[in-house]
Amino acid sequence: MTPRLRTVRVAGLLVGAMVVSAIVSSCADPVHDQLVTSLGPEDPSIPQGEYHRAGQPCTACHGPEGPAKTEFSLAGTIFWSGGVAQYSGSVVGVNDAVVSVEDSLGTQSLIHTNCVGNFFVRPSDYTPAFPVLVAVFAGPKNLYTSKMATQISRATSCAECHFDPVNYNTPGHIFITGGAPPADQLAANANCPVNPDLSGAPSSGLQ
Amino acid sequence: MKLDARVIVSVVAAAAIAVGVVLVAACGGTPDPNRVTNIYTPDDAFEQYAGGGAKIGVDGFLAARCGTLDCHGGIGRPLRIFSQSGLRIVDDAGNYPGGAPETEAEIFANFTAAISVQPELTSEVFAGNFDPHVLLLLRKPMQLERHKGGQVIQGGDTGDTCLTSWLSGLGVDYTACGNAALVP
Repeated sequence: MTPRLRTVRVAGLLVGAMVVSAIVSSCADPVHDQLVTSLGPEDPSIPQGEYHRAGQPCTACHGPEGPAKTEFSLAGTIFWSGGVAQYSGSVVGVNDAVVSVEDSLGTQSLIHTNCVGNFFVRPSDYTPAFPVLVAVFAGPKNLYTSKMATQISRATSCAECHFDPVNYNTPGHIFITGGAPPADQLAANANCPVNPDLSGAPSSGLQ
Repeated sequence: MKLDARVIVSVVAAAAIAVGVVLVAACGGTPDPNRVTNIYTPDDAFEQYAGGGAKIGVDGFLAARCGTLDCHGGIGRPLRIFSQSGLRIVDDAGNYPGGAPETEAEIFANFTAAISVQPELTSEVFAGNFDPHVLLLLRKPMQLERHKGGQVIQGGDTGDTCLTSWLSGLGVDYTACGNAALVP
């Protein structure tokens, strides 16, 4: 190989490497990556699945950008309020709450929570046309009700806006009552495969 | 014609340096703290924007329909909108979404946000030199320009009437603003 040919080949490799690195870096979304990283590791006591990461922004991972394999069009967690102050008591997921979603086309969907309060919808089942209005019902004859005062304009996870602690930019988690969790309703959580009471758990995944 | 390899490498290197210089120059420059942009509005522009009592002004509409925490109520958004149910100004009051009613400071911040999206053009619109629909404040929610939140306003609807009546300087249509503020 002549020195000239070698130089041309090196220059070609250099340009190729620059092009490839530019393409790779342009495909990455550092904001999304940072969000996923900020959620921290899994709680070792809760296996990956429908019960994990209650209270976290589900679609940060279960969205179009992944990294989770399953995608949700809407997801979140509903908690019982506890203690004297609405936002400072126990954090217990509401078992079998009904999340009512009415989208801008008038389509209504009812989604049930599991025993840690998590709910989720896959795009193949329902993809709401934003904005949507949301209300939550629980207990016998929907005794416990909470209706969101504002529309959801485009967030697909409750915890995009609803996270702890209450601050200038968040009203806190979604709580369904203003008082302590009803004892008879908490009994419904007894058979939950994981502990639905996330209060005081440092690795509970709560923000 | 054969190009010498050294020439090719030199050209590539020179181009890379030129691009770097342009990028650095684009990010450089010293901010001028004395530079200001005047925005001219009618004397009662803020009063009409704010509304009050039974009158729901432009702010009531923007707060309810644009200022949710997942849209213009987000701290990273342009046209940042504060509201009782959305983002709150950080001050000694310690307000949080869903808490105390919207404060005067929050309404004024929203007003300045609305008129400063395009300050010069907004002044011209208030002066009657242009149709309000030249402004991004209308073009974005009408989806005449790309809007991540989609189409929020349709031509001639209550939201359109609310904003155009205010921007035209002919007197805001409080009824339209009140209806536009209703969550759909």
